[in-house]
Amino acid sequence: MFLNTQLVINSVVTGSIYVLIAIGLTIVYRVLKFANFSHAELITFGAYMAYIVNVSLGMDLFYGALAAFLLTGALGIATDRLVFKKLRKNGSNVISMMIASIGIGLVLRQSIQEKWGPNQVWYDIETRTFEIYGGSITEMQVYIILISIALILILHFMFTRTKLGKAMRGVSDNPQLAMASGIDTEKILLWVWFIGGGLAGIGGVFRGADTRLVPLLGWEIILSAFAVVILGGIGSFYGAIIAAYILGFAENFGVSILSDLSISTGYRPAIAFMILIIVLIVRPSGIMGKKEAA
Amino acid sequence: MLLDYVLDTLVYIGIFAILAISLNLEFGYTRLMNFGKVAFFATGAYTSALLSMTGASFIEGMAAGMLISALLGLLVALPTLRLRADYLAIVTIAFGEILRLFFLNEVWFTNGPMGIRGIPQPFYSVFDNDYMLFYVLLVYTTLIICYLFAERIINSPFGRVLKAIRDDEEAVQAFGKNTCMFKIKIFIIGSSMASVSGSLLAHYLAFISPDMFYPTVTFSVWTMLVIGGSANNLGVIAGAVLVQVFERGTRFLKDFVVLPIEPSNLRVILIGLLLILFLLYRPDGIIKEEKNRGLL
Repeated sequence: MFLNTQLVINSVVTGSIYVLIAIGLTIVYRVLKFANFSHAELITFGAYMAYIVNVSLGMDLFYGALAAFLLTGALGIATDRLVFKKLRKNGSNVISMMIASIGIGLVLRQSIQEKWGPNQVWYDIETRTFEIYGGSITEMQVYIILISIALILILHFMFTRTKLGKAMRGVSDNPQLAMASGIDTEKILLWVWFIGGGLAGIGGVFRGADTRLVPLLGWEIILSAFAVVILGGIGSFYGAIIAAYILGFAENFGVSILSDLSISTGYRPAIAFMILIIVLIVRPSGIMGKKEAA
Repeated sequence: MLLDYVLDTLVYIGIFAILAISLNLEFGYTRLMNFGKVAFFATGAYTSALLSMTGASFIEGMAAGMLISALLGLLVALPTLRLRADYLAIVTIAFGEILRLFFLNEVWFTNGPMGIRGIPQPFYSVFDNDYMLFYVLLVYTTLIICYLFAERIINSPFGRVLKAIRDDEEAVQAFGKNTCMFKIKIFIIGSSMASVSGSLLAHYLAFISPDMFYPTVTFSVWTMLVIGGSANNLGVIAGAVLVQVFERGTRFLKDFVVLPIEPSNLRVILIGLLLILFLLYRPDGIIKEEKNRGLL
């Protein structure tokens, strides 16, 4: 079974979808210190923005993904300006922020359902399939893997080499010190939301292209995304990358084991849940998290 | 007809007020972020439904539900309660979804997506035509018991420790209290109480299915807490009244007026907006916590 090429391909594709979503989630988590549950609906929003470009406007999905990145990034900023920034100003704690993020999620998800209906829709994409080592992979899946790797490299470069990336790390590690060093924290927060939201949007497009679009698209994978973030260590960029691919493999091989045991594959989300629980028991700070995180 | 709507709304208010009080014990007084309230609500409903189908009485079903919910609560609490607050939120939200998947997938046990029909209604033959009225009494008697029980807890030494944990956990630990034990205990109590309201729902509707137990149920209860003012049991009951009158009201309205938005969508959107607006502009809710009651 472990030589099954198809499972390996599926795992890498799943990991590539999770990785961008989880990086987006973890950088917001790291800087703003709260679990942003509305990330689920940012994912869904991105998927439907690309749907407008791809299906309603009849353009290539590549432009859809681009639009998804920009518009979902903008939505991330909007949620901060309209809600989270005000909560910060009120001196509200992270608990209020988490509850507010649930509220934002409910509004977004049901608005999407109102606009596009509860039924599934699909992107207008050609599906060429390649055969490799006895497994098959679609052209779209090749793009998903390659674009994810490219974006990871760009982010790595940004965090290590650019002023913006270093400032983001500074703000998350010690906001007071960053401010004292002349960093405009509120401006950096805008970038955090833009990049975090944008990545969620692209992740949504990937998921939509790999499966289908439904208003619950983001909600279906948000638990996996949280499992990735906690397994990687909250706030850890590199941890999230490793954890995303671990989860991709765990879910696909897990589902295959489930069906071998003739247990319903509907339990797929339970695999992420089990990983979550095991991490919390064994090593709550995750693979690459700091010890005090727990 | 109108009376039926009123009685139906009253039953829902009562059932959800019990849920809101149970969440208030966990969150309002102890700051435990239970985002999986619906899991224990569903456990109560399914335990009562399944047991009563095999001939168990109303009380037996309810008691079994409380026991199973307590055990599940313990299971969820053990790995998470010693960790950061947000871990509990993530784990409970996941737990609720997994449990719903269980009810959905184990067709042999729960009849899966078709749900369970024909759940016996206690004392139906006795009250027959006035059954709704009887059920209102049953629900409100249970609510009063839960309310008094919750008040008793929070005004006890145990409850004062809970509030102290909420306000400054490290200080309580410095006094040598095992705060984790307190949190686990109140989580178990809250879970059992949520189970009671689930049992009441199952016997009231005589039908349950997995799609009644989406996470939106949990957040509807959270809205009651945020609107009513957490750490005040009367406040959260008021929150339950407002949210349920609104939820039932939109269902009622749907039969008479054409809304520009699908009512089920509108309902959830407004719940979300209420949650955000109260957090922004009335973080204490409509009724604040009474401070230092029982001390002076």
